[in-house]
Formats: sequence, C-alpha cells, structure tokens
Amino acid sequence: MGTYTGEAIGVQKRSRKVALWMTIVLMNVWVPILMLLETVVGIAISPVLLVVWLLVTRWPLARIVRHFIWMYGRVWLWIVSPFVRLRLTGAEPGRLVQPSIYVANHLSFFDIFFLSAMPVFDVVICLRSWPFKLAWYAPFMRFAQYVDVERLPWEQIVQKMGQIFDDGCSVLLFPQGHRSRDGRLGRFYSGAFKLAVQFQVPIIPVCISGTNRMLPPGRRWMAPTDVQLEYLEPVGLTGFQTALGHIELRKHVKRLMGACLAKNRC
Amino acid sequence: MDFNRNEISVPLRRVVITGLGAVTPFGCGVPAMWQALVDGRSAVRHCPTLAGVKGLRTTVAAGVPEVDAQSIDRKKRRYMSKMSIYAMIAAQEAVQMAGLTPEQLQNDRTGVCVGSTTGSTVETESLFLQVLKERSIEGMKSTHFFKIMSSSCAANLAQALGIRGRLLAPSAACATGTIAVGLAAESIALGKQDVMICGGADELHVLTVGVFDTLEASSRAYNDRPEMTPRPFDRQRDGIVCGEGAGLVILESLEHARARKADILGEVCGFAVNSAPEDIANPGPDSMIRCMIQALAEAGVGKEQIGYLNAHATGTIQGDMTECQAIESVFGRDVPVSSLKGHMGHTMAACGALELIATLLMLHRGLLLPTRNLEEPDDICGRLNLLTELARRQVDTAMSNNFALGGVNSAIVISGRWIRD
Amino acid sequence: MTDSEIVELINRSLVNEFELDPGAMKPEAHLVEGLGFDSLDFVDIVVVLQQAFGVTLREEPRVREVRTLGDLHRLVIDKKRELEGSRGA
Repeated sequence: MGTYTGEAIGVQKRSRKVALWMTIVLMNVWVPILMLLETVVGIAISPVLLVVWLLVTRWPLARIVRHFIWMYGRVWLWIVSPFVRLRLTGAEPGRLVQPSIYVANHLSFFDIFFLSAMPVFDVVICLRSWPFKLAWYAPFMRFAQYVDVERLPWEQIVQKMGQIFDDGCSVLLFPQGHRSRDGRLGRFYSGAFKLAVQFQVPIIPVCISGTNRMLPPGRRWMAPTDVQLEYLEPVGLTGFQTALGHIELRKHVKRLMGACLAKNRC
Repeated sequence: MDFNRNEISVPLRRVVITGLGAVTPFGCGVPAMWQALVDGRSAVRHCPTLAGVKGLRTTVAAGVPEVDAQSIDRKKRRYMSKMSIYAMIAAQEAVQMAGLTPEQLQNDRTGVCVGSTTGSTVETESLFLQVLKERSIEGMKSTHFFKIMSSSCAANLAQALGIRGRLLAPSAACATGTIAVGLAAESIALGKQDVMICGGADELHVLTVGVFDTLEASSRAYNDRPEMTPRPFDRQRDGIVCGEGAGLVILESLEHARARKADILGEVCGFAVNSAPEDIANPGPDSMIRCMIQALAEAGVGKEQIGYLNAHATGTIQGDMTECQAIESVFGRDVPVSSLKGHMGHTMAACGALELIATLLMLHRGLLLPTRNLEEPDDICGRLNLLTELARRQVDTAMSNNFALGGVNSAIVISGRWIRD
Repeated sequence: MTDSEIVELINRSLVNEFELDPGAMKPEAHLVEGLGFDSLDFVDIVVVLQQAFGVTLREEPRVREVRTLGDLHRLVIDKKRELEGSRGA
C-alpha cells in the first residue's frame, strides 16, 4: 500500500496500523463529501462560466466543456492530494504532440480523474455506455463529444474521429475495454490502433499504476496510495502500414506498456 | 575492463540488467517479494508434510503459495514440474519487463542459463515409488524423464520461450543462482550471446529438508514459532529453513540494450566463483575471502566502493560465523551487511538470483533491508555493521555472496545507478 | 493440408493475432460472447485467414452466419476445398 507501510522508518508497527486505519476513515469521509460539493457547485455555476468562456476565448462549445471537465479533474486531484501521492512522468508539453491517440491501461474507476493531471485538456475520451448513464455527468460528456464505443457502430466512430482530429483535438481510449481485475494487461482491442493507422495519428501510451490500490473493482472504500502516471514517447506509424499493421502496432504498444508497468510496480 | 590471458587481451563487453522476475514464498512477482521484504514479513510456516515424516526434526518451511500456471501453454506445461513452472512464470515477468519482442527472444543470439540444485525431487520420488513397487517401468510416463533430468528448468524455459541460443544448466547447490547469472554475464561479455535469461529455481521437497536435517543444519527449535526462524547472525540461531521459488534476470550487452532503447536497470560488474576443498559441507573463510577479492578485481572496483553487502547467511551456527569472518577480513567492519534468508528461508538455487533482484531494488530505492529475526548477533558476527532496521542510504555498487554445500563460493558485484559512460 | 491441420493453424493464428487464451479455443466457443471478438476483430479475422490460407472471405455471404469457432473452422475448410477443387478442374 505504498507510502503508509514499510517505508516509514522507526515507527512501531502497532501505531502504524492504527494511523493507517484512521487515514482510511478520514479519506472516505473527506473525499466523497468534497466531491459532492465540487460536483454540485460545478453544475450550478457552469452556465455562467460557459458564457464567460464563450466571450473571452471564443472557443467552440465542445472545447470549452472539455476544459471544464479538465478543471473539475484538477480540483478533484487537489481533494485527494492529502491521501494520494501522484507522480507524473513524461508529460512535458513539448512531448505531447497534438493531435494524438492516448492509450491507457485501466485499473480503477478513478483513472479518468487522474488523467486530468496531464497539461493537455483538449481530449475526447472514449468510454463504454455505463458512464453516459450517470445523469449529473452525462450532459457534460455529450457536449464534450465523448464517444460511446459500446453503442456506436465502427463507421460512425470513424466519422466522429475524423471530425475530432480535424479540430486538432486528441482522443483517449482504454484498449482493454474494462478495468483489469488482476492488474495484468490481458487482451487489447484493436480499435485505437486501427484509428491511428487510418488517420495517421501517433499513439501516446499512458501507463497507470496504483489506482487499483485506491479503489479496486469490487471494493467500495478508498485507500491511500501512491499513483504513477507515466507517458511514454509517442509511437510513430512508420513500419505499421501493412494490411494488419494496426495489429502489429497494438502488440508493439502493449509490449512497451507491459515493460513500463512491470518496472513501475517494483 | 580487460582480461589478460597469456599476454593476449580480450576486450570484454559490458553487461546490463533489463528485466527481473520472481516467484517466491511471498507469491508471484517481484513487487510481491519487494513489498513483503520492505514490510519485514516472514514466509516461514508450519509445514504438515514435514511433520508427518519420521526422523525429521524440523517442521517449518517457506513454501510458494498456489500459483496459476494457466498462462503456460498446456503442451509445454506437461513437461514441467513445479520448479519449471516457477521458473517460467518468473521468466515471463522478466521478459515482459525487458520488453523483448518474440524476434529478439527467438534468435541465435539469445540464450538461457538457468539451474536448479537437482532435478524435480517430487517427480523422482513418484517415479521411484512406481518402479520399486512394481519393479517395472510400465508406469513411467513420457514426461517423467524431462522433469527429472537436472537440466529440466533450462530445457523447459528454452522450449516454452522458443530459445535458440545457448542452453546452459549449471548446478552448484545453493550458489546455483549466482553462478547462473555470472556465467550468463560472461557469455555476453565474451560476445558469445547478446541476451541471456538467467537465474535459478527449486521446489520444496522432504528430501532436500532431510539432507539439511541429517547434517544437523536445519532449524528445529522454533517449530512452534515458525516466523522466528531462520535467524541469520543471531545468537539464538539454530539452522536453515528450506524454501522454494524462482529468480530470473534478463542480461544484455550494453550495445544491444541501447540499440533497442531498453530501460537499463543496472549492471553486472564482476563475478567470481571458486572451490573450497577443505570441507565439502562447509567452506572455510580463506576460500570465501579469495572469492570476494576476485569478484572485486573482476569488477574493477575497490572494496571501499561497495556500499552494501548481501550475505548468504542461512542461519547455521558455523556458516554465518565463517562468512562474517571472511567479510570482516576483506571489507573491515563498516560496510552495511544483511541477509534475506530470515524473510524467505533458503530458496536454494533461486536464492542467488532473488537476492540479486532484491539488492538491485535496494540500490534503486535508496533503501537497505535489514536481517529479519536478528535480535542479538553473536560476538563474531556482531563485529560487522549488521542492519537491523530499514536504512535510507543511496548506494551505487553492491556485492551479493552465496556459499554452498559442496564447497562452492560465489560472489557477484552489481551497480544500480546508470551513471557511467 | 488435412482438416485437423487447418483447424490447428486457424486456432494458432487467432491466438497469436488476437492474444487469446489457447485453452479457450474450443469448437463450441462463441466468437462474440465466448472469445470476446468485436466487430472490428471480424474484419481482421478475414484478413488473417486470407493471409494464412489464401481463401477470400470478404465477399462471402456465409461469413454472416458464423457464430462459433467451429462454424469458422467449417467455413474455412469448405472454402479451401472449393479452392482446391476449382484448381484441380
């Protein structure tokens, strides 16, 4: 469990356990309450902010809403910061070319929140259908043009993507399709990689570690932990132009991510 | 680093570490082992199988919990006894960490050097029970031999991973793991191979425990308090606790790692192995001293550059003391020393590689692990700087020793900081 | 190639390209529900099998009726036999 075990030198074992449980209780009170507060306030002031943003920035609506979502994520990071030590590597703005396809492994419900730690906000996230059913988030997701990959047929997805890339916007996908229950990578679906080859957009692999310790699939309470987000070098598309090039690209990216995650876990 | 032999200089290549894999009594994976070591946990338990054996005085052991072997193709798995399965799972982790492609694995320049102290004892027992009972070999399955032969681990890994390069299967009792890594490093240094998957694996069996028990070397005073043994260096130590597992490491030439842009985790700087002819069961300090000095010479480092020493120290009264005498003679009393046997027991052929992995992580994390169950060292051992608590210290270069039954000594020097160029 | 060799090669190709569990490759395994193929994978399956066997499945109406792995085996075997038949003639 990262920071709070083992590496605290010179602390008696018993009081360390007590301290840990107190922190867990505190976290499960502090975080949900503040998240609720943030969400309610955020929804309430968003129309006003929207008008302000429109006037000042003159951005298209979708971009503004993506900015709001990113700011919401940033505030959330602040809310969990007493309990989560976040390490971000490889996310220097110069490295994160636009547009690109971010490909991340999926361990926890909170992965998307952590991803707002990166300096780029103009990203369309592709998700399965269930998050779109969360009534308080759904309108924002739709205005931000998030894509429901479970419901939409491939041709429509491709059409939307074309539009998104033309707008200079990036895309984020989880090629595992669902949260990993054993922490392993398992099978990668080919969609993200097919898009990369089709639109000649580079892949930026994102390796997420530790979020599963915070809230693993199946558990209902959060625990304090270290989280690491490592952004690997953008993967270019040379050498992946054959008929099954996207499969080779998928395997290549999976290998890079597997190696990175294995090292970060140690 | 030049090796002068009859006036001819052979330039040796530098050998780096790019992948780690482990199956230990703490479970599968290097993270599980590291976290358990940092938490200071013990994997030693009461072992009912041992308790049921007549004449066996120890009933504690450190066994690997049930592993999921589904990731290994059934057709390959049928030739594998437990030790090979452990080795394979560890190898898969190491290969994944190194990010090696199938092409990089399956060419003539990638080899395997993995050993175990003996072929599968479990299978040997079952075969002989069969043969002796029936006085016939009709019950012998085709898969039996491949599990019993002493190269079983190496052969199975090569088959399952599609290895085409060198297949080496050294066997040198408890020093097997370190020797396998050392020999693999030399294959690469000499330019014979570019990538080597190396390490050691062993499975727990009554026979192995029985050997130590017969030699009066197994721990018997703590059968009711398993986690308090073994007790390396401790005044109250009383012997070895047998364990099992696998430790695998991917070694590569520096050029090969750079060319494929691999993350480099450390470097194998030097390695030495020698024989101790004075006593087959217990090496004396002189041969240990010679071994450590030679390892330093091979590595081209002075003794003052070793910031941490991982001792073999299994918890035997004689062995720990002799090792401490040897360490003091070479390094003096300042170098921090600890043994990891107190946490995991003696994992036999795996221990050399597992201790190397743990030492490497200590270098990376700037955190030195203490010896578990060390409450009060005896007078001779106590002269050294034996760690009893986690110590935050940034160390660049470390040495790991293994001194084995059969009069074999081995020492390896590694560096964890990629600074030289 | 014998029928069982064809089945073996199909399974091996699918396991490699789609990173499936070899233990799950049973003839009764449902492609979508059991093996987890999505619509994009079906497009790739056609290409993979084309490269492995030289059979064109792209315009083949019977592809739409394939539900299980066994169905896929039979389809490829039939197409291969047709191909050999037409060459022989």
